[in-house]
Amino acid sequence: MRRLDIATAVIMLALSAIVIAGLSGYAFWLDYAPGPAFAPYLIAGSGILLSLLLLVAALRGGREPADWPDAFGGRRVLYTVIGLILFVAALPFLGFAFSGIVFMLVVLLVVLRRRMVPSLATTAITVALVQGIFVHWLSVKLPTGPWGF
Amino acid sequence: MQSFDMLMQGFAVALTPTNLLFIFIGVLLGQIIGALPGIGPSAGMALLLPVTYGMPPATALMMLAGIMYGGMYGGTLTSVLINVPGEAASVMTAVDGHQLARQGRAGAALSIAAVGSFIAGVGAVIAVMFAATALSAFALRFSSPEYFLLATLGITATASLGSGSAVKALLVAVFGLIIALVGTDPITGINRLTFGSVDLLEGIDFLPVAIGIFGIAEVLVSLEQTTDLEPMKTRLRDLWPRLKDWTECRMAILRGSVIGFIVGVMPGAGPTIAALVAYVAEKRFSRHPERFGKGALDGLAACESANNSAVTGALVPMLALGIPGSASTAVLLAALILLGVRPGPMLMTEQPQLVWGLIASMYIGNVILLVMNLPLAPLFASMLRIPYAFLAPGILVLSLVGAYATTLSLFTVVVTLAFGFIGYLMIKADLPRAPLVLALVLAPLMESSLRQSMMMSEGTLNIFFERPIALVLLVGVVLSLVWPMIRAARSAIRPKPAARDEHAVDPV
Repeated sequence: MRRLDIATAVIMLALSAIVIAGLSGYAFWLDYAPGPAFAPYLIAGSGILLSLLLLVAALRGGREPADWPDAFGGRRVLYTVIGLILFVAALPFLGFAFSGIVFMLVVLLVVLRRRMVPSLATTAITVALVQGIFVHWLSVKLPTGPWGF
Repeated sequence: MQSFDMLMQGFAVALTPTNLLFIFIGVLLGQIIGALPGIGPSAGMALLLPVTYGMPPATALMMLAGIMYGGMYGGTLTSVLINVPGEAASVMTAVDGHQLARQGRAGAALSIAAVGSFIAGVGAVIAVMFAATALSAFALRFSSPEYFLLATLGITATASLGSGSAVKALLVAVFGLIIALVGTDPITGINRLTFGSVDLLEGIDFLPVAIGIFGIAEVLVSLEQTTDLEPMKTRLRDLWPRLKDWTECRMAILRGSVIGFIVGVMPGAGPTIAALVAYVAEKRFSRHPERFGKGALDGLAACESANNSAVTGALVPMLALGIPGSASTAVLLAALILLGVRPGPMLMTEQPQLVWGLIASMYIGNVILLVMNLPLAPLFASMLRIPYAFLAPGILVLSLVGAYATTLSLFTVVVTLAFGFIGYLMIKADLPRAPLVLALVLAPLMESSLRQSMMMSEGTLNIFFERPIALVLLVGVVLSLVWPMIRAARSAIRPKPAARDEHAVDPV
């Protein structure tokens, strides 16, 4: 947990620095009114202060371990994240329905190792519900693939 | 007495078969739309506005208003069952509601939420009847300084009164404020932190962030378990709230209703701030504040009552003054104009049948929602008996589709996914997630109000001290920042017990 706290503090310090650097050409004050950099600088300043407080506490504090998953659980998370990234990447080319079906089946059968029939049923119900509610009822145009759906 | 007579005339309008049918359609649609992440009540109302062309104005208004408050009931469902807030006002509901679901008490949570929403909704309608003009006058005393401090208090109170490290909570809130900076400056309109990206010009909306941080992150954490993912145990007797639960929650419902209505009356404040303020206040009054964040039924009751009450409260400035109090009432106002009705301070006197018919329809709509939700709460909760392994991929797909539906842009989906991963890391690092989303929601109001306040006071801070309401709020902000340090100092002074005191808050 100590390392995570230090990492959190460092990341927030970096973000605050990016905010300050990104708005360095903007006015902090315009005559009698705050400029576009006013609030960002205040926010970045608060971020720096709080990051330093967290860093000090982390360096002085206890060493309780972080709650990371074991190797098997970690792989399930990793494969699911990879699956999500591929699902989103495939959306504009293969459409929602096909990408969704492939994603769900891969997660259910390969990652979570469920049985075939319940997995197929779950996938069919989920994709059908989403198509029905979002596409047909609410007229939300979800990405379609080369097959038109 | 005159209000009572007008209300009876309103019921005469609302109880016609056509109007009853459209009230039912409105609340049903509102409930479904509120449950869907990515489509909030105001978006649903806007989508269905064309359907009201050709309808009598009273009927159209009743249906649209039904969607508005029905959406609050619907947002509770997904917040409690799958930890995905259906809309902004349900974010606080997700915090405790889903924890209750994990403890097998989803039915109790949904039932208490339904009853609390009903009581708050009906109470708020009564308050609208009698207090519209007077409350609008009070609400109009709120100006930029008060809005800035109210929004700031919302963030600092959530961060400092939460369990765990106050510094971490405030740091997460700052992260949310930084995210909110991306896009265009609200006053001058110039680009900030867009780094040349066209997609970032409109900024980063809170809903994809909330869907990622709460929905996707929680699913990823659940997938870590290497043993078979068991369905959440829901015993039959846990599907209903116990008498003890009602006793615990009755004051929470009352307080939430009052707070929600008062906050809802303020133009621009809305049900999200109302739910947050009610949650923080309830933690203060609760006999078991340590339960907040881990499944506090009274916390849930307070938020749900407040958000329903606020939605109705937002009607007060709209009906009395023609000023919309929230995004949903802005759509209602647009509907009035499209239907050929002139909104404004004279609406109540020029169109009494329309206004009182609308008010009467809200009583009826709340009864319909209670009748629909209360018996169905155990059914909804029973969905959790489905093995989680089969729900998890569906939740992920629904979350991403919901995110896509907000802007029809794949960029939003990418943002949701990114925040899903960030949310997962935040859980690992024991960083609270609610302050991030709340800061993101409140940031535009905070920044515009602060800068307008400074303009009003010609660059000085005196304005925050000279206005009585602002001064009270400022004291609240300072106390909420100082309180964790006082508690830590008191804990340090008291003799240390053998076991760690679970109520102690480590401010650092």
